[in-house]
Amino acid sequence: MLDAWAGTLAFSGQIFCDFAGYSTTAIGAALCLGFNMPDNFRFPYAAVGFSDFWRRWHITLSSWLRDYLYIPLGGNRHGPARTNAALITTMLLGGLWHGANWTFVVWGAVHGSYLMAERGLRARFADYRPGPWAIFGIGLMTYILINVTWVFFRAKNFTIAWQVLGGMAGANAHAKPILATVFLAAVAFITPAMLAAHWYMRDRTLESVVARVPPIVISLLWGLMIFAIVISQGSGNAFIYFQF
Amino acid sequence: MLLCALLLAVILTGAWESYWRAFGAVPGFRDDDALWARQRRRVDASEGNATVLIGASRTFFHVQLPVWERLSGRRPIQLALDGTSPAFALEGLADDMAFTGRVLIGIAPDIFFTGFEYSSGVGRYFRKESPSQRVGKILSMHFVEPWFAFYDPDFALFTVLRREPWPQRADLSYHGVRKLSITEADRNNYMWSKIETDSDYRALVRSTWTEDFNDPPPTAKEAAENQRTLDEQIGRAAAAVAKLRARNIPVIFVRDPSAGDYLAYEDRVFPRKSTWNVLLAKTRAPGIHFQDYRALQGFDLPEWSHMTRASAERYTEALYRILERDYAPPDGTRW
Repeated sequence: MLDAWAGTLAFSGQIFCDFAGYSTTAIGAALCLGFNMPDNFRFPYAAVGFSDFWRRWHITLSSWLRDYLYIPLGGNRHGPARTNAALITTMLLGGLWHGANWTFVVWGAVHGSYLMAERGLRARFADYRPGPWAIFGIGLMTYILINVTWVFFRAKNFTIAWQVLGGMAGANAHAKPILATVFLAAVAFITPAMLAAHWYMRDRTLESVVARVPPIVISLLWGLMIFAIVISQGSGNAFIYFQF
Repeated sequence: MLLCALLLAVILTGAWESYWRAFGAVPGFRDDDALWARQRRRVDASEGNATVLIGASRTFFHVQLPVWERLSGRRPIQLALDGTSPAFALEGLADDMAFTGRVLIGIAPDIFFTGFEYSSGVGRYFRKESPSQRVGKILSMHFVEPWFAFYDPDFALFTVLRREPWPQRADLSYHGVRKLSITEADRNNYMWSKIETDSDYRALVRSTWTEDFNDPPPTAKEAAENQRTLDEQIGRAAAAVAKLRARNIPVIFVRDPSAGDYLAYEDRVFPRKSTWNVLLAKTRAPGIHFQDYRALQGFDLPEWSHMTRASAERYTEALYRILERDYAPPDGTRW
């Protein structure tokens, strides 16, 4: 169970850092050339609910899917049944966009189901106004359920996906450990740090935060980041998202 | 702000470099896929008639290119790869019509006969290398690799962290092969002097090898699978050698020396009779086994698998003289 969750959380962090990292690099490179490109990520692991997640994750794709699939399919203006059909169709096609593999289709289907369930709950509890702890709890639940979808996204086939999900559910109680302590420690350190950063930045922009921090602190952080990049000696492997 | 950040990064990097220099590290070229691809491209560029060395780490450590060049008048192309069966490289040369030279194939039994490929992606990298990857390597070879000792995969942050004495779960402790050698720009490679001078480090390297030595005997099913792999490896070599022979390209197999517990392990798990002898018979190619030549024995192999630099220089000379004496190419060219 520990290994299955650690592996899934690690991939969750990896795909965000990989994809958001190179999106930010592209935005920065474009700015150097005088082009202002839109954000592609807005601290998605602080999302409260799945519609919020898709307003924060891969924004360029989700905007495209909304404008060219969801709205032409009827959007939310033709009753609940049509809205749900539009949602699930959009997310299925969004999944298929990532590759010709049924695991991607299921990934899209699960996200579509999440969005439909969220709409249902919002309609059912229209008058509910959650407090700060409830918001945090819903956000954490959102993050955990998003992690479940990453299993389908990452797994090469359904056999592996069910194996990992089974492990996460505690079905492989006597399985042999596969992750060394150092990897568990890395996940235990990086995941909470990433979530804390996302929650802190949830309603802020990087520019506004940087503007308020004393220059010496920014210099220190930049210096440490440059040093970490240098001594990590990253290989030149392609970004995960280059395959999509 | 940026200047302060850069200054801090430079200071910290300088401290990191000092730490690894104190550990004994010296700058060398990074033996990655790009460096191998640079050498492999020489075959197709203008050196198709060169002597090409393929094999695993022993060929990489033991054949000293400057010595070979002094004796033959020409520097061979070093394409041997750490922990990697040369079968793919041999097949590549067999299918490459630009290649008209000579091939020396080093055989490390536990690598070749198991088909083990530590650097399994290098062939694909060679075929698919992008211009930016090629330029990146050129820049790195000019501005980074010759100057910084810390720029070595063995000293990368996460490798260092993995090696720390973490409390281990089951048998998941990290036993990666440590840094063993210094590589030059054209992949001339020699043993890092630390292995000769630091007994603790030498013991650490030996302990990495010995992990495999006490594996339980294979089950009947595993033994059958191992035999199938062995036959497949020899079959691949035989097919490639046949293609080269058809083009009159001299081929020779070389079983480099090993020593101590490593040699005992190889003799036990990969006995000469059922591996080396079969390879020569099936490929119908000549071979030099170190145990058959007095001149190829008596070298210093501190960690049982690889020679010291001084020994490798003497070994290269001895090997070259045997090649020229007993296996001179029929067309009058020199190895």
